[in-house]
Amino acid sequence: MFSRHDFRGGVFLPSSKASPASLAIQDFPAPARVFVPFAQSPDDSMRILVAEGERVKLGQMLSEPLNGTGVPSHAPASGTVVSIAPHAHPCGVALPAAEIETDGINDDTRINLLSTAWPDSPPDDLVALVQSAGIVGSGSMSGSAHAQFQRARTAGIDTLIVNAVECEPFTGVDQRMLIEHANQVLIGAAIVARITGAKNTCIAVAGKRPGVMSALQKARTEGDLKSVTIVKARTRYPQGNERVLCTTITKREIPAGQSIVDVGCLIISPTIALAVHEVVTSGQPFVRCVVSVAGPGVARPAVLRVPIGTSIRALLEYCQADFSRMKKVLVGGPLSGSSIADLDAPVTKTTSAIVALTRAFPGERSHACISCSMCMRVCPMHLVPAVIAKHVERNRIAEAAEWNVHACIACGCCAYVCPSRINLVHYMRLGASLAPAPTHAPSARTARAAKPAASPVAEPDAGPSENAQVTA
Amino acid sequence: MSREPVTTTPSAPSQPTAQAAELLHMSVGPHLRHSDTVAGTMLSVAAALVPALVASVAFFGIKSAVLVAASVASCVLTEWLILWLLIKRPRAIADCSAVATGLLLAFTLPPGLPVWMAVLASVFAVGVVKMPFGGLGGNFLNPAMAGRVFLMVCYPAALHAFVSPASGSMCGLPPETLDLLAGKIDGVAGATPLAAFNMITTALSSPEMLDEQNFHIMDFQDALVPMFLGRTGGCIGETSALALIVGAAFLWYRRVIGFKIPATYLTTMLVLSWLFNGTGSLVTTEAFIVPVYHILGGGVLLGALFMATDPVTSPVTPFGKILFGTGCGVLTFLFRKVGGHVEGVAYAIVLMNLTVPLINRFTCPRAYGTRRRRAKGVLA
Repeated sequence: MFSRHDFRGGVFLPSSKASPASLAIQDFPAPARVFVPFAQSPDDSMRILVAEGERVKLGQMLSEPLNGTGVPSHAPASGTVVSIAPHAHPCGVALPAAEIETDGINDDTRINLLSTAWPDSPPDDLVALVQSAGIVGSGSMSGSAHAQFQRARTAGIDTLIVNAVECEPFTGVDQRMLIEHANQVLIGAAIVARITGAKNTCIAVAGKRPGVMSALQKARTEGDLKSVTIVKARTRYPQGNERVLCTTITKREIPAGQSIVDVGCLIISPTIALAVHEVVTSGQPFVRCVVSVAGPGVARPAVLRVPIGTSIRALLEYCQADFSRMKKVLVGGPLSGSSIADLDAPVTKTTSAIVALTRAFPGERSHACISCSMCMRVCPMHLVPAVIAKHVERNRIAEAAEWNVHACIACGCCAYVCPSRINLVHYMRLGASLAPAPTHAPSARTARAAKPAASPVAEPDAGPSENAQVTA
Repeated sequence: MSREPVTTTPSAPSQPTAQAAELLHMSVGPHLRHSDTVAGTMLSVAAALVPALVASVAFFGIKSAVLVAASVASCVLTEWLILWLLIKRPRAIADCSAVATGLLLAFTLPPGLPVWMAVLASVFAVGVVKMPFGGLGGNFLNPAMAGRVFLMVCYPAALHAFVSPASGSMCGLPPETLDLLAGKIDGVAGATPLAAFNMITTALSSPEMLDEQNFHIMDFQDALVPMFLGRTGGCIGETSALALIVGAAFLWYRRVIGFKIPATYLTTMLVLSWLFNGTGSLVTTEAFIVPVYHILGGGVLLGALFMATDPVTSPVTPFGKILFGTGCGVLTFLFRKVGGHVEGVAYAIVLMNLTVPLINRFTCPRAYGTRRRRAKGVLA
């Protein structure tokens, strides 16, 4: 019934005419001041290694984590630490950050932990290197990279998937990265495959982006990386979600409450692959990320390689955003992204898209549910959002849990199609946060699917941030 | 990022900057919406009914238009009064569902019906079936079907007083066939195609009623084309199969209705009326004409395409839709074949509407990554 690389549910989103994937990556010069957050989320704990007034080099470590899943932060430019104080963060809560006044000298320090070339290095050294580079994933693949790799290595995985499927309008950084740096991404993926012991590596790309395919084919031939398979997935949102993509490609279903590693897979983004390649080959930590700035509120969309800590306002100004018409600014795509309140929030390690909207949904009145079943038809998790929303609305949390509110990945398809304009995602997330997480035994079908994985040993280090159900 | 609160009250930034003048909206996603709305859906239904309305006015004259107008107006007025006086939310009338209800209700009435009866049915449909249960989305019966059933119970004679179309005959049979039947079976000339069909098949099963075998069901094929186009007696909306199919195709294209319910409804009707066609054979041409007659005659097409597909009163699950359509088909056939009424669509759909919560509950799909669990609660 379904084509080979497809899933049930999802929506076709309108494609923006000028997708960021068609724009060349430009280097965004370090602004006069950057605010580098020490932590990735409010519950990270870290030790700060610099003091106010201290001069830092590019790539110098600013903080180190106190827990095994945390990552260090590094200076994205050389300069002087002016202050260490809580600063606005895209997550909505002010987090401690180092304010650095850049001096433009950009003398750098590099990490060098490898004594041999990477194909001969022990995986533990590579994991330590990835951790010291501070690499973090974004979106549904969020969490620190080294913890994911370590967990995958312990559990034993057989498939590594590089996820370059972007289906949302105004996004396209991953595809652009493949067009310009296909070779580095493939090598980075090979390093991750060596760390995790994955036998199969595949790159999932969205259907219609001709430049991506040719760049990948070329890199695969030239770099002698024939073992990497390229998978064309349908450009239907949320194909790029971790759970959806895993099932699309491997036909394995991730049991509720478990993560993708438990079914013998790992998904990384091209950003992670590129960062791993960079630190392994040149010793440069994760201090810059590629961000697309697009949307109706932006006159000149661009894809920029930005030092982490640059304020979102600076990027919007660079792209000639019309601040008077702007109603909403998103970090992430229009469906899965979250709106931000403060434009002074910096670009973080997980930022890959900034979208400026001139129209603020919702703001419309919602109507009564007419049971049209569209939400159910598009739900990639096969839930019945309308029913769950009614239960949550009436404070019947136990019933909502019974209808599997926890399986929701907050992709937003249901609310996108709802003709009654009900804020289904709000109710789903509210229900998931109020209901106690269920304990699922794997079903016969999912247990069969999980067979290829070796004994799924729970890694003590793997904190809640590993749980793929928690999506940003 | 994972800790972003659902309620969106971000903490104030620690360093308010002078230029932070713009006020940005905060909300949970998605930040993009499809253009479909409830009002758009309802107006699509209304638009899809226009071809059948035009056909009806062409065949039955202006009186059918008057009946439709009265029905729509009284539905809208009743709903607005209830919303205004009792629910205190008069703006909800803008969802246009009352227009669709009024149109659908009028389509199930014969064109010659007194206008006050249509008004009465509208008030019953909206004031008793729809609004007391929460208005749009809350009603457990299709209001239009319930309105018709109300009239069928209270004024059965008026609902069977059909009007002959301006061109063509009442039952769609050509004049020479009617001449042949004249005096043999009473009332055939004045019956709707389905009623005439019932009379004649009953007569055929007792051969003494017809001297010689000079009339066969075969002769009914002459009536099929007029029935398809609508030049036969019947209710306002149900006579022209062509116009209904055109309207339903539009709705299907707009994704307002799916194909599962109509397809299973009509298939069940076709198969059952083929199996029990009354001619004693399954392979003769007659055996294949009977099912077509069942589909084109009476309100099956209107019911299958527009009534059973009403989203509010049909199941939401894919398998539930199939069960629902099949159930409608079986019940309609039973009512027609066994029951005393010529027509069974309205009763069948209203009965199946009542089973929808149960169907939903037992056909809930297995969620991704979970075991199939039997839902304990009835669908809210």
